[in-house]
Amino acid sequence: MVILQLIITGIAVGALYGLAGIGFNLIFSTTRMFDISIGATYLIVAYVYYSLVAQARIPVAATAVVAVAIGGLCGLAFYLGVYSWIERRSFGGFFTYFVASFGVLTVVQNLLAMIYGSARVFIGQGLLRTIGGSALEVPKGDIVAIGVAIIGYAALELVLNRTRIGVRFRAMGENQDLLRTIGLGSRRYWALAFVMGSVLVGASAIVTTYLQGVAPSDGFTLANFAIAAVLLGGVGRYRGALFGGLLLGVVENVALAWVPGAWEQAVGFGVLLVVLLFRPSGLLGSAV
Amino acid sequence: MFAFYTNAGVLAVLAAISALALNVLIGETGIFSAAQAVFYGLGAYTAALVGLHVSSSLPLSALAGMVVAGLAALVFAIPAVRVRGDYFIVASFAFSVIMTTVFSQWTSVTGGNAGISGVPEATIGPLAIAAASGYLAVAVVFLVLTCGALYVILRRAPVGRMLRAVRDDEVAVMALGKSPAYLRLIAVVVAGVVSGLAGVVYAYFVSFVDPSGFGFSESILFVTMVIFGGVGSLAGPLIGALVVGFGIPSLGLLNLPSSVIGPLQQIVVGMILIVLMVFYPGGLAAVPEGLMRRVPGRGQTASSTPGTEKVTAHGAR
Repeated sequence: MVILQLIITGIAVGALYGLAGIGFNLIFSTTRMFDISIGATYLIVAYVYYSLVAQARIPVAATAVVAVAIGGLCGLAFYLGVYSWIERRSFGGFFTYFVASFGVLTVVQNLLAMIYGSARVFIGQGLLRTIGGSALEVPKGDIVAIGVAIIGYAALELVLNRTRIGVRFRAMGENQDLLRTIGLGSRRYWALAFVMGSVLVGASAIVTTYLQGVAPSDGFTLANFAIAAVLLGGVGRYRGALFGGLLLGVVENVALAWVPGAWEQAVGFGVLLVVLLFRPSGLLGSAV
Repeated sequence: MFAFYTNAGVLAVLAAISALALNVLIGETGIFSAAQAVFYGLGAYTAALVGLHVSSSLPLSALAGMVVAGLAALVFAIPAVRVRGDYFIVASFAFSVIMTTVFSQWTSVTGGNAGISGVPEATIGPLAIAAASGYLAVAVVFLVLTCGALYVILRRAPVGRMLRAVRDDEVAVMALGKSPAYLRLIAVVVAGVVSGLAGVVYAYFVSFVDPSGFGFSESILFVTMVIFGGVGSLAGPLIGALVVGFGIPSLGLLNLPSSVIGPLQQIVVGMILIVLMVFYPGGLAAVPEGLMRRVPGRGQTASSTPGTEKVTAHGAR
């Protein structure tokens, strides 16, 4: 029973990694910018949410909408404030964007550490209440987490497959140059990809904050779990990102049955290294 | 004040050695590692254990530290070099998380979070090194040796040319019948060994090692040094390490509470990275030349499917 419990928690945590991973994947496959500053977006959303709900006691639903919107704005601000500059000035490569986004994450993380302190803060216990009998107790938060991830994933698939924007996004993922050649290389869609990806990350941030609280160091950890989920599943594959996230979450939680809690993250990343050893392009990816 | 700068000087020179090592990866081979402090730490832990339990001989400890760091680099590199260049960063972070956990949890060997204290003074033959100035001399000697060795490996030996070829055009390397993964593995191991050497001196100088010295933010400090000075040259990381190595600790001299100093130092590091990438993607070394080399855009890197697309890592150059 303990194992079943851990699996459920793992699925919930993993779904949230996957959701953030989908956000990263959207930004990366449309713009080719390796945007580790999704960790900064995550932190800003989480702390705004914490301030509004736990400190100012504003109702949850309204706050969630505001916080996710702020997440989208963060993505837009980072793109317009930093990445689009690099793009215009020097046609930066992978490396330039990566280092810059790394700088953004470092600055945001430490500004928040100055404001809120580096200790973990928590929101009330509402979602930690459990449902179900005494044998198997599922925290409500886990169900919310899985629900939010499914909604986020479904919404994105809908946009990608049923709208003109989605067609454009997929085309950007396929061949950026061809698009530019035929006159469709608009930067507005880059900005839009940043906004949408950041919204997904923001949604993940809110639920995770409920489950685990938030600390400034979470920004980098989350960004890496999200990217690890994408790598596990196979770059460019949204379903893969979700699957990779679930795998990471389940493995690191089930491992808790045998190893001390301090090893949780190490186990998750250990799995990533082992998978990369055998399938460098991810579990659902095509051969390199 | 003088003592402050002697101490900062030892640490800056050691950081310079590690930055040079990291530049083998970032600048020469085009792979981005966020785990360099781990190898620095492995050298330090090895030296601390050897110093306490076997002998405080510096040459012996240096050898042991380099071997341990090199072996760990090998273990890390075997899965990591198989990943496409850009994602090496994630594999390196994964390794960093795992090793930080090992440092803090393998209590019987590493002393856990309390660390290992009371590392004796290093000795070279009959000579004991006690003063900070002694360690400064040792660090500078090691720095010069490192520069020399890396110059020969990277600029005079065929393997150096092959590494740069991996950075610039992996497909061409494969066409020559060489394995890019194997070459990257060599780079990772060389970088690990050199950082391990710096870590050995660190342990004897500070006479104390604990996990907090070798975590992710320390790795990033090394990255900043390399980027700050400019990647791909020997002088760049040196300049970067000295400027960052003196500059960032100097902020600690400001009369501010320690809860502010730490984040403030990190914010400065982050701002430096952003400003450099926007205005001088080539780093400080590129500024006097007054050139903003316009690198080829995405135009040359696109291929057909997103899953297999190769994005080259030399955009910063």
